[in-house]
Amino acid sequence: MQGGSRIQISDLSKHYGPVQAAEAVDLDIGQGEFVTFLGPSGSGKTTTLMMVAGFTVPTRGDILVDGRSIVPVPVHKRNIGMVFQNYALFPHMSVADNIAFPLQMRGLGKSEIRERVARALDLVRLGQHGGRRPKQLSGGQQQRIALARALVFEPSILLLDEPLGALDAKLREEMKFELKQLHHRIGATILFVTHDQEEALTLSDRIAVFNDGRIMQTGRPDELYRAPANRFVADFIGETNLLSGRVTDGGGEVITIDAGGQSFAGRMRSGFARPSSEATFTLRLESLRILRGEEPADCRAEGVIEEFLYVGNSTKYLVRLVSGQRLTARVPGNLPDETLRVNSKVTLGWNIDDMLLVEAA
Amino acid sequence: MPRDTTLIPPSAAQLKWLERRERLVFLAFLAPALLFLVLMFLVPLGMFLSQSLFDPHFTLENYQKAFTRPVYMKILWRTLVVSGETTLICLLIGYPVAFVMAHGSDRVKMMVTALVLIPFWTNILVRMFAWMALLGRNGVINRGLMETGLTDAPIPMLFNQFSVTIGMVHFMLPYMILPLYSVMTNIPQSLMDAAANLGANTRRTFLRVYLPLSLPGIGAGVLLVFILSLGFFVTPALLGGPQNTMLAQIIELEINDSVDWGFGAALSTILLVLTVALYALYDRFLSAEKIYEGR
Repeated sequence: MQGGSRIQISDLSKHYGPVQAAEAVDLDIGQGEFVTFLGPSGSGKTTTLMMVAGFTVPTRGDILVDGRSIVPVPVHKRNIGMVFQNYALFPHMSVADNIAFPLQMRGLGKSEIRERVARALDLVRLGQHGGRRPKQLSGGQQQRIALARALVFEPSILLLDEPLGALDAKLREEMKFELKQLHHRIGATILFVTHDQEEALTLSDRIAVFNDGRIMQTGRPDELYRAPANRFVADFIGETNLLSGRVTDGGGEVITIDAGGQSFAGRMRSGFARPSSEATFTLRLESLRILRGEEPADCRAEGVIEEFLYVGNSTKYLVRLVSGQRLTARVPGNLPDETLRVNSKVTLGWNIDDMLLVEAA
Repeated sequence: MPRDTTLIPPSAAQLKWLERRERLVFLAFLAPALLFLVLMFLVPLGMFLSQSLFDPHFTLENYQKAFTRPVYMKILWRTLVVSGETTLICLLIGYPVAFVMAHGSDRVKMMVTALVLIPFWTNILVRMFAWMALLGRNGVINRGLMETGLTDAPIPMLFNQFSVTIGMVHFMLPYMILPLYSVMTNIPQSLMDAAANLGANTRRTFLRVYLPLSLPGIGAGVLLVFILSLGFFVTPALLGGPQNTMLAQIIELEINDSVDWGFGAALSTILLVLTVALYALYDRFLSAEKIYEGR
């Protein structure tokens, strides 16, 4: 059992010539927190992780671990565990020797090393595989060995650089549970980098969404999903309908836009939208209902089903509204409604609270 | 109405023929090269080497001579020593060069590669005569040393072990560097990063991770240079003196001057067996599969 460290990242920036790989990243990560850096490739998430690991020297800013700056500390003295994207297991060493490596570097005695390697192998449930070479193991097993190697010296910080990326879909699901359980057991502070929003949502205590080298929003998974602060976050996390139009009424908490002749009303959590300016709403797929008869709804719109996709636990309907706008609705259930076919006329309904302003000029 | 042929399942014989056809195509592709190799290399080589054993009846006399007369053993030993020295010097000089070639910036990589390859493409005689012009009694170096007053008399640098080794190292370096480079360039940077992350400083990262992973390259380079050196002729003949004679020169002497084909063939066989044995040794211990798969 090991505790976690607090990591304070302040104004952290990395510039390559005119390119701002990371710009003014601010983040305060609590002891034992599981924080995910989420973003598309080139968004600065990996650059930030590499600066924490020590492989990249920042252009500006500081990283404090438990109050002390680690920027001047060389990589091999940082004592931070890391699982690399392709695991980076030493191919010329046995699995046990791979795990023993960090302990040997720390000058531990032979018997203690043997004991701790055995314990680490048990932790990742690969006790019988110590004598094998990494190449003789499956992708999932290699991944667990990389985890064991990163944890065996009991670092207070664990960095995970897209560790699930190389696994097939089924194995990835299993590893998500294992990672979460592992985090509860070891209590280390974990920084997890991924471009997969689902991984981020399922694993993290908090998510920092990166784009163009900057953090767009930081928050709990449900906060990011339910209340995205901007258009990028709304679009990147989960599936959504984005509706852009001209503001017709921007006075109070509810604003109204005109999008292609159809009027939409939605909530604005802060700020002010000028009339006649451009604004964008987000409306989650599952917030849309297909109304039956006189079923009540805050807002409603009529349209025609253009196409539908059965995805197992739900069915997605692409609906063209009378105004020409298209909205996608997700109807839960594993049995699709036979009456809803292409060209069926439907009425969509939603709550005004689910229509959120994410961008205003 | 014609029968629908697609309804008839293919017979076992048909399937077998299809399977075999693939192999026959490959064999056909290889045939010209194989034919050339057998007719122009294996047959003449076999005929030549067999002369060491038949004169015209079976005899071991030639081998007896080679292994009992001290002069031949001495030359064989010298050949091994000179080849070993050349290989070692090439490795010490070549390893860091290959490292820079494999991991330097694109500009540096290009420059170093050019510096390695230009001599490689230069005719060996031109290079050996250049060394003679440099190292001779009245060569560039000696004249420079005497004019600056550093020495009074010319230093003997040509037609001795020194000039032979320099010439051989110069010739062999690319053969060391290129296999090293091709192995090093495939060592992922992430492994070095991982070693550092796990607590290894630069020295230990090199010794525990980089060096073992570059071993197949070391093996291939050492093997190539050593084997080429064993049979090397031009450099010792041009840059060496009589006391630096190597095995290949003796073979040439036996065949061209003494016209003792049987004995020349015996010495050639010894050289060939030595080479094959070295290759087998390499394959047993240093090939990439052995190091990566651990079998």
